[in-house]
Amino acid sequence: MNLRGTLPTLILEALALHPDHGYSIAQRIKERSRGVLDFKESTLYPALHKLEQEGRIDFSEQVENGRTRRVYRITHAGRKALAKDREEWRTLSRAVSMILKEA
Amino acid sequence: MQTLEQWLEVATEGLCDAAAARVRAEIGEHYLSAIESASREGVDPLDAERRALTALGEAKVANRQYRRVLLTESEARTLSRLTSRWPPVIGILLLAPFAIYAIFTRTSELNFLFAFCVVEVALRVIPISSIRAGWVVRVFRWGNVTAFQTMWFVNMMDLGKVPALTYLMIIFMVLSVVHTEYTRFVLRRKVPVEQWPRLLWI
Repeated sequence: MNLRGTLPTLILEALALHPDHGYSIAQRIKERSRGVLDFKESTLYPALHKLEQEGRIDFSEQVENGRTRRVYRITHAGRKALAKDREEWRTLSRAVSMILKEA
Repeated sequence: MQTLEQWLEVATEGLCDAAAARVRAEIGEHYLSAIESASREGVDPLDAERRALTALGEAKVANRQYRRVLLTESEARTLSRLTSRWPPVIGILLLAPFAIYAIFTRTSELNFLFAFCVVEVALRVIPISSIRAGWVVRVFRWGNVTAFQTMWFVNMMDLGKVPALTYLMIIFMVLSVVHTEYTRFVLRRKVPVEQWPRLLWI
């Protein structure tokens, strides 16, 4: 399913639970949607860069098994943006559901 | 079969060195994590590499997306020029003929030149505390530049007598403002506010 425009919200939602690194974020989004939301994994990183530039996430570097990983975490501004996105999504979802029931 | 190195070559094309290094690090780490995960599931190593690369998607698509959020080579060069502490050589070179003309003819253009320089210097040193204040300063700055150039064209070059040349000069002036503002707009979107050089604010 096409994720256009919703990936940043899904990333914030994944990070709202706990800080995580890129690969794990991608897998969690796929698992939580039971495979319905499938996306090319390289698209995750431009979205992470954008969220970082907007101050919605930040990161720290951790060394695991000799490899440096960026662990991303949601910021206060990110939580506020996520709350707003959730509300907008619910409103949109209700509206679309009403129309589809009519059809 | 495409290798990770080939994929990265395409994905980082045109990005500045720092951005390309970051992409290489994060995609390299992602790729290794995917292979490890597949290996834990008992997938054959070669197949695990192929699956990890396929999961990344098209390198060209990734390159387009990275260019939207990371600095390209030309943007990094522009940022470096804006960050440089050297005097704005091009600006001085452009002003020089006007200054020589004004000084030797001792006409009123000298007043325009003086006023322009005072405003330009003031805009470069006044404190700017917010993005909104930056917008106000930019409006003043472009107003100052446009007013000065108009004076220059009309008074010194007497362009009123040659309408075609006047329009050409005005078009050139507008295009240079639009180009400069667009370039800086892109930089402002990509560079965190706390890393903006002074010239990006104005």
